[in-house]
Amino acid sequence: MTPGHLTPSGPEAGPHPDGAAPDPIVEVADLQVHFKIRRGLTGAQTVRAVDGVSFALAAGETLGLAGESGSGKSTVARALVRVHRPTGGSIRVAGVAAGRLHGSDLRAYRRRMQMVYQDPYDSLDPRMTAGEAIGEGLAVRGLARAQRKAETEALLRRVNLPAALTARYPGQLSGGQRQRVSIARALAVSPEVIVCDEAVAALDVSIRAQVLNLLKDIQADAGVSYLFISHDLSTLRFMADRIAIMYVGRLVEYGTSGQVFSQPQHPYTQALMAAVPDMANLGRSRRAGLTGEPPNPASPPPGCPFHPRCPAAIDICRTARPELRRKAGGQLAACHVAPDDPAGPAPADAPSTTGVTA
Amino acid sequence: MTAPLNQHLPDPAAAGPALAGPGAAGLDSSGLELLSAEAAAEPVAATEPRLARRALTSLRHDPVALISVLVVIILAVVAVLAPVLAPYNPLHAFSNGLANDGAPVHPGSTFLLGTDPNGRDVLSRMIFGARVSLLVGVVATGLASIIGIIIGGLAGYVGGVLESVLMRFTDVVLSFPILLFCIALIAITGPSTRNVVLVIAFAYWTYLARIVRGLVLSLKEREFVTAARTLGVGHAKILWRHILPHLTPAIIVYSTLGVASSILIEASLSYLGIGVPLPQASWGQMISQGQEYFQTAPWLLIAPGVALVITVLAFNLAGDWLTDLLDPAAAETGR
Amino acid sequence: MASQQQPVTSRPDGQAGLTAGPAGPGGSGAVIEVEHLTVAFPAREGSAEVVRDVSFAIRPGERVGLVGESGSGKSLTARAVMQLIPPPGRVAGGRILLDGTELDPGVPPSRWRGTSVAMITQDPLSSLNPLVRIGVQATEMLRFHRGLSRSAAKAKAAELLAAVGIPDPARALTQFPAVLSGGMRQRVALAIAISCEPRLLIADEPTTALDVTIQAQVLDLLERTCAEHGSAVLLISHDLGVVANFCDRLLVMYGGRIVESGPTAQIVGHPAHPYTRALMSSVPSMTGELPERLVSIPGSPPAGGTWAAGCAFAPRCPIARSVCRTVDPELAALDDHAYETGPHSAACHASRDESWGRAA
Repeated sequence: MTPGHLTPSGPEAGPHPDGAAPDPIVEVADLQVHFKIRRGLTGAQTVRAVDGVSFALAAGETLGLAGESGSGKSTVARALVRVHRPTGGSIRVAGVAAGRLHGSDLRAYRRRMQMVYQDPYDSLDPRMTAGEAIGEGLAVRGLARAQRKAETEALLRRVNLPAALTARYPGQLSGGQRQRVSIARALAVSPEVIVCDEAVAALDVSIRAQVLNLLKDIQADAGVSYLFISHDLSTLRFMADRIAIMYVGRLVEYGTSGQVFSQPQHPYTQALMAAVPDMANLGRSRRAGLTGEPPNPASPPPGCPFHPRCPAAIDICRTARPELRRKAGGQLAACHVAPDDPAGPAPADAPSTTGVTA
Repeated sequence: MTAPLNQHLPDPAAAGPALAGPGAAGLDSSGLELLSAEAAAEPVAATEPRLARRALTSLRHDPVALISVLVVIILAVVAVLAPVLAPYNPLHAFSNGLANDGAPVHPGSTFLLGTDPNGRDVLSRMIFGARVSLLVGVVATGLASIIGIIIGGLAGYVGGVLESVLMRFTDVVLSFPILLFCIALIAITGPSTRNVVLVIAFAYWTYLARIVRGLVLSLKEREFVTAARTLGVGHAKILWRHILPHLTPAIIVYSTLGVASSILIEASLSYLGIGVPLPQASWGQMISQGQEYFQTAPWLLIAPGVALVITVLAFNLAGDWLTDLLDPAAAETGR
Repeated sequence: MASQQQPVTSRPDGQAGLTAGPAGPGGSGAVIEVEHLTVAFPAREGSAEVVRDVSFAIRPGERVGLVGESGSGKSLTARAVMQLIPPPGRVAGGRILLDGTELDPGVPPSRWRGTSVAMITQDPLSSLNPLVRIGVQATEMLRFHRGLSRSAAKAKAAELLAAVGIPDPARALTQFPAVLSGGMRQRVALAIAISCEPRLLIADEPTTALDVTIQAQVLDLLERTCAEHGSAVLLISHDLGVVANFCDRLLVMYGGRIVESGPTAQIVGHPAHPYTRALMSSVPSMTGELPERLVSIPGSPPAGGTWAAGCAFAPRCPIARSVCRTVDPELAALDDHAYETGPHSAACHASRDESWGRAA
């Protein structure tokens, strides 16, 4: 597109409009995931859980996806691993369109994208030992039974667990250990991307750090990319190279970690950051907090869905939905109020309008 | 300052089944994560006592359950070893089996439980009757379980139209009163042990089908099933490895209670004369016969009646005990 | 450090009868005093103590935070104060004084629950009966404790709901809890808890299940409401940031014991116990330099009741020595400084021994 926005390589560069990203592993363009809910006898209502989300993920980097409940971030994660079928838009992994795959193609795709879930207790089958759980992944990869034992132990070592745990059931493991087993299981199929859906949220604080460190080590070792979903901004600040903030099914801000954390452009991002209790600034007034509640995803407000709660809302916010545009800080944000990047051109290079089709 | 902690750490064995062996290498550069510290600091929960051990412990504390389980076992043994245990051929009408006036012989030294109006040894018939009861009970329930699991499992897992069709079909079968249903089917197929088994199986699968469907519906949503799908495990394998093992407690409990019910149904059918055909022995039959002779030869009624009551009661109580045993802890340890 | 002298006290801060204690309102004015509380559950061999020898006091209007991870015993401590320990657990030692008089199990709890001490918990769907309308639940306390008539109670309840920010309180009174969002339910729970103006409000992880922006709102509300009614607050959480930003004083629990206590600013600025220090460094901050790796504590917090001999933290402690594995350290003041809210104390052998040296 416009030469001024060809992105140089490296995560510290600006956000990648899809068309210009250097070899992204994952390209998501205008992803839509809608659910139909029955409302009594009078028919269905459509909930647009994900309503036009676009982003790209390069090899070896971590993209953080932040948002509160109802934002759709978990739905994005599940659409990526094809638990949910995308209603619209496209997902391409290493160039292969993921949306319409079936059968053995789908299985091959699934080996490239794995997921670590939030609940360490439920994501492992309580009737299978840790070794069997990991072995299942190895079987999918095609390993013969004889090799699986050695490989299972190697994987356990890789996640800093002793080989003796092969014979343990999840009920005998701590939360942190279970989560590591889940990570080992995900690694068993040698994926290129791992989606971490609130992977540390259910762990004790002191264990979280262990698991986060582990994830970083694995990334450094194996070059895996992460789509790291979390509502906890401080974790994202540590983990993510680039970060996308979601609100009611759409991206409201999308840029590098440095850009977004130091100069958040969207009022929602600013509010999110202000709401995180930080120990470095005790006694900081919370009065600047956000009022109201996130809207019902089944019936979001017209115009910008954030406008009822936005301290900076102006007239146009009530009627026109803002598109993602490059803002002053360098990142993309969907806001009428935040000043555009003076050097920046048209919204044409925003990811949502790139013509990547399924 | 990070003095070697190893020698001061509590002995791993003493601290319970803590991890033996070192943790992994290559850790925190700040030195705060130590190899052995990590390993020893993560004592794993004590292994849940295996199911067998828990079963024995609970039996020891519960005399009712203990007796029931023993009765079931004894019954099984009797049924299997019937030819060995029975003193006489149950089908043989003995010449000395009837008194001079044609009445059945009272229980005595030759015939421990007396004889029936045809001169056949009651005890032997009881023993072989046990075999019939158990055979019919177990096979019919087994068959019913298989059908129920398949139908319920498919309905729950596949969902959609298939589920609706299967479940409505189940509802239809379920709406027939069991005994009448069995009677009707036997009338069509003709009485024989085999047909009794088939008929009971066909009447009973519906209960398990509904239970299984409900269980599968909720299991489908569990995160470990999603995880398996994401891994790329095929549907058949998911059903077999992940879903079926979780159904086992329900199936076992249902089966135990199902055997009891099946035995009763068989007895009822035989009582009505449309079950196991003469001259083969069946408790239901014997009860039916014994009714007429209640005044003169009460043992003909009492023996099979008591046996039936005890058997059904034992199976029901054992089923209750199994429910408690398998229910909560099984899900966690899986053993 | 003046710790080699006569220890200021081997009793934790705020306890009634402190002799050489710090300045500030003495223990005699405290709303709640917990003395050597021990809570035990029956275990396979004997009983397992999940709260061990915990002592603290809360003065009127004070905001105290209780921080700990799973297995630390913090929730059970709160429930012990409310005398709501789930059986088969029981208070195995110590006592609790409410306004100076001991809380005797013989005294019917309805005398003081709700009126002197109230509680809100993490999941308002379980503390609010989902099958009973909010109006009924909100007026229950007022009618029972204050003897208000139904209409008077309704009016007061509507007032309270408005005060906690529920839009259209009259309508809310007729609704069922499930209709409201998590944040709204928590506000209702708060309104109910505060309706009889308790002297102490115990908030057990009140915001853990809420989104971060709603969390900020609810904490704000909690602060304002309690200040208005003059209630003291015991805020329990695993989130150090939440507690540090809300409370004047912190109690850090680990292994069933209080391992550090003192003014918030002191603890945050100069954490003395290795656990507190590690806890603070393991949370990535929102500002400032980001480390390549987070400082983490090896192993996991021990499950309730499974303590080793000596200091419960020793197996995971970077500076543990042999004495730590045999002798359980007492909670003792670190210095003579009399902070407004009580001394800064820690239960660590290292904090009293200069030569031990502190890990980074």
